[in-house]
Amino acid sequence: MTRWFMILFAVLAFLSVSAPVPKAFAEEEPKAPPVLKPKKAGVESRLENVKRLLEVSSGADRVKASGNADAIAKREEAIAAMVLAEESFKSKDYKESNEFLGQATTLMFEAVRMVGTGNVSKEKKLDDYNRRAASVNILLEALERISTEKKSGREVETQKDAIEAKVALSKTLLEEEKIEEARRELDEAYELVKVSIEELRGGDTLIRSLEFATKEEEYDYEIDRNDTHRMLIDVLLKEKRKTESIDNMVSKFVTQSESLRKEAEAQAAKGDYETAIATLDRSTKELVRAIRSAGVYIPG
Amino acid sequence: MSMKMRALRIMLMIMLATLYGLSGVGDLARAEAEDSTPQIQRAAKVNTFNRLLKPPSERNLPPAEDGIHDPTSEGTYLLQSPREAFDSLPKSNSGNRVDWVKALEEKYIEPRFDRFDPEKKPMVFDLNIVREVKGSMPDVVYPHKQHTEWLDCSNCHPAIFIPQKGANQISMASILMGEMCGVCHGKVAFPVSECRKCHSQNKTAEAKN
Amino acid sequence: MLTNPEKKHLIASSVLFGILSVWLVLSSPVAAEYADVVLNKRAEKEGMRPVIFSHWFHRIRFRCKVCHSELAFKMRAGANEVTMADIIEGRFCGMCHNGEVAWSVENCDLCHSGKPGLESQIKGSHETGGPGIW
Ligand code: HEC
Ligand code: HEC
Ligand code: HEC
Ligand code: HEC
Ligand code: HEC
Ligand code: HEC
Repeated sequence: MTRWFMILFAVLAFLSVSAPVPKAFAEEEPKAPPVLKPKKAGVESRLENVKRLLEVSSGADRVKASGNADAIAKREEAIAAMVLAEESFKSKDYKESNEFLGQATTLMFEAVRMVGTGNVSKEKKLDDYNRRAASVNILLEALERISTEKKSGREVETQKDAIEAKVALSKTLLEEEKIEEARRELDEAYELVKVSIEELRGGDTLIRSLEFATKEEEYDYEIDRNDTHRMLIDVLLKEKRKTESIDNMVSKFVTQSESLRKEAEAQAAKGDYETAIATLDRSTKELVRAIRSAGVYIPG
Repeated sequence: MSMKMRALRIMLMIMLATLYGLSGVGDLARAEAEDSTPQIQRAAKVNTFNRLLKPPSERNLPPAEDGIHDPTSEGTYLLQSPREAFDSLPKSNSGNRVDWVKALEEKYIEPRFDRFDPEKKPMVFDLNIVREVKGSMPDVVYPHKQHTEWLDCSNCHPAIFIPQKGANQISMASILMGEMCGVCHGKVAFPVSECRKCHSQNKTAEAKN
Repeated sequence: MLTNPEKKHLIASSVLFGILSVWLVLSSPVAAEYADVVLNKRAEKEGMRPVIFSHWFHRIRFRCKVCHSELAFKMRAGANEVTMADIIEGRFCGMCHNGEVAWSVENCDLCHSGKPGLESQIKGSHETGGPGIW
């Protein structure tokens, strides 16, 4: 472990020495507008790109492995165009070379599109279907819950029936392996359920108030809140704690808070959540004090 | 506590420290200053000073200078600079430093809801869920409205949340670990340092209602 | 199972990595735009620069839902198996970069624009202030 710290400090020391260099670099006057490089370089780079497209890209692999004679022939044509481009490049006719490269690219794209199914695989379609279905189902559940809560009448019932009918039809279609049609029905159900929820809930404000079913639950919440504030100390006060007097004060509150938290954990371990909650609240308050003592006002 | 948990905690704290180092101390302190006594205001002004805060000149850098795009590639210079793109958009304190909610509401931008059809509009759902927080930390208001402008129900239900008030256990620690609200906030949507955007309902304000 | 010294080793190296990351964020010129994503599961292995995807650029034009639906991208950096063949066929980036919704993929360097050696991850968030946790 010690060895690691030594390395760490060495690296840090090095960094702090070297850090200003890139900073200065970044503060340079705005650079003059970039001038495009001579045509030759551009064509040369394109030549390399097109070579990769024809030889090593996934498109090239796909065409080579396809056994599709037409596509393979197209790729050969593309290669021929690239060879011409190379020759023009060598004889310094960059304009012509560039044109051949354009041809090679277009031909290769055609070849790739020939072997590609052009379609999404069946597994992916099924996967997508299932995702969308999960969304429809959970929104439908929400719609049911909300319509019960709001005691909404027949109209919503009718909408719900229509949505459920579409979902059922979609399922049947899926079983018949008509995945496209199944998806279409499902999408319609999705649009409908959105609109129905919007009609019921649009304009509402719901309040999730802090009510806990058990004291243990409240205790867990308080632990989270305590953790969050402990994290905030590191977040908010990192710079300020470099001042010793501030650091001392902050440390005092943090120590206080930590001991209260230990106390609370012991109380909770004995099952006395009520007292533990009160103690944790005091612990969190100490953290808030620590933050404020450094001059950062946070509510809490 | 297991070793792994302990290591994770340490990491988390370091991350938090970084987050704060970059975002300026105590957003809360700043927010409080808006509606508190003059005395606190003075303190808050001191608090907002932070030597680690990136000066504006280092924000929203053009691709060639942002440290991840390759400045030796020609393509990099064809890309738009965020600074230029954000010039006319409403500002915020963190993330992209664009207030995306306002940008959308006030039609500075009109992102499509459908890939092909620019006319298609989202079904905006106006349901607020208030989650009370113990102590005088302001309560959290989760607004469906702003979210359904950008997202579909299925992005969250059930992938991230069960659609039932209070059915999900959410804590700040889980958010900072990139779960629950933290799936998006801190990655793409405004970062967690913006306490006040979520903790938006004062206890006193609630009592007045 | 890890032995005790191994565990210590692991923790020490994670701490070191954490501190390193903090240092990097604070002082290096890396100032990637918030929510830029590096995709580099395959690109660099095949000799191409890593791909950089900008959320800010795309969210000006599209809502999240357009890309984060089952057709396209899972909301987790690195969770998508993106290949060039799929893109050319019209999936992932290719569902728009097809010459209709946006320019087609001939112009490799607009996407393959990252510095060599970048890891697949999202940039500018607190998540990347330390090692990624999923
Ligand atoms: C619209 C953006 C985009 C464009 C344009 C683009 N790519 Fe890609 N490319 C990607 C993405 C995304 C990946 C996956 C990155 C990863 O995870 O490594 C990728 C991966 C690759 C790979 C490695 C994996 C594979 O499928 O072979 C190669 C090689 C590649 N691209 C070549 C090219 C070439 C050559 C061009 C120009 C003709 C090009 N790309 C244009 C986005 C693009
Ligand atoms: C929902 C459609 C869509 C998807 C999906 C998409 N893009 Fe785009 N992208 C666009 C549009 C539209 C533009 C702007 C085109 C224009 O300016 O003509 C664009 C532009 C770009 C640009 C140029 C930005 C600039 O500064 O001009 C890059 C780079 C890019 N996309 C990369 C990607 C990558 C990488 C992916 C996949 C990981 C991807 N895009 C997926 C629609 C999309
Ligand atoms: C960004 C994520 C997100 C999106 C998108 C989203 N929701 Fe929610 N939804 C939530 C959260 C968070 C809750 C509160 C859960 C809790 O309190 O535990 C919730 C709660 C609900 C509830 C429960 C209300 C009650 O009566 O208890 C319903 C119904 C609901 N959402 C429907 C929808 C619908 C319909 C859509 C699409 C139009 C949608 N949601 C989109 C996050 C989301
Ligand atoms: C699936 C992604 C996602 C999840 C999960 C999510 N949000 Fe958001 N949220 C967004 C996006 C996108 C915005 C738009 C603003 C932005 O991008 O910065 C937003 C905006 C907001 C706003 C509006 C701010 C304003 O300026 O009006 C609040 C408040 C908010 N989120 C709170 C929450 C809370 C609380 C949770 C967890 C219960 C949550 N969000 C979960 C994506 C998400
Ligand atoms: C993306 C929204 C969001 C942001 C930003 C946010 N919070 Fe929270 N916060 C929540 C949610 C949700 C809860 C859980 C409330 C509950 O118990 O249901 C919470 C709970 C808390 C709690 C209570 C303890 C706990 O962990 O449950 C504290 C303290 C807190 N937040 C402080 C902060 C501070 C300080 C900041 C700014 C650094 C902040 N929050 C930023 C959403 C947010
Ligand atoms: C043009 C397409 C596009 C749009 C629009 C888009 N995203 Fe993404 N998103 C992506 C891509 C691509 C990835 C990276 C996926 C990967 O690495 O496999 C991603 C990744 C993510 C991740 C995962 C980050 C991580 O660290 O795991 C989140 C969260 C996310 N997006 C949220 C959003 C939100 C919120 C919005 C709307 C404000 C949005 N996205 C809009 C394409 C898009």
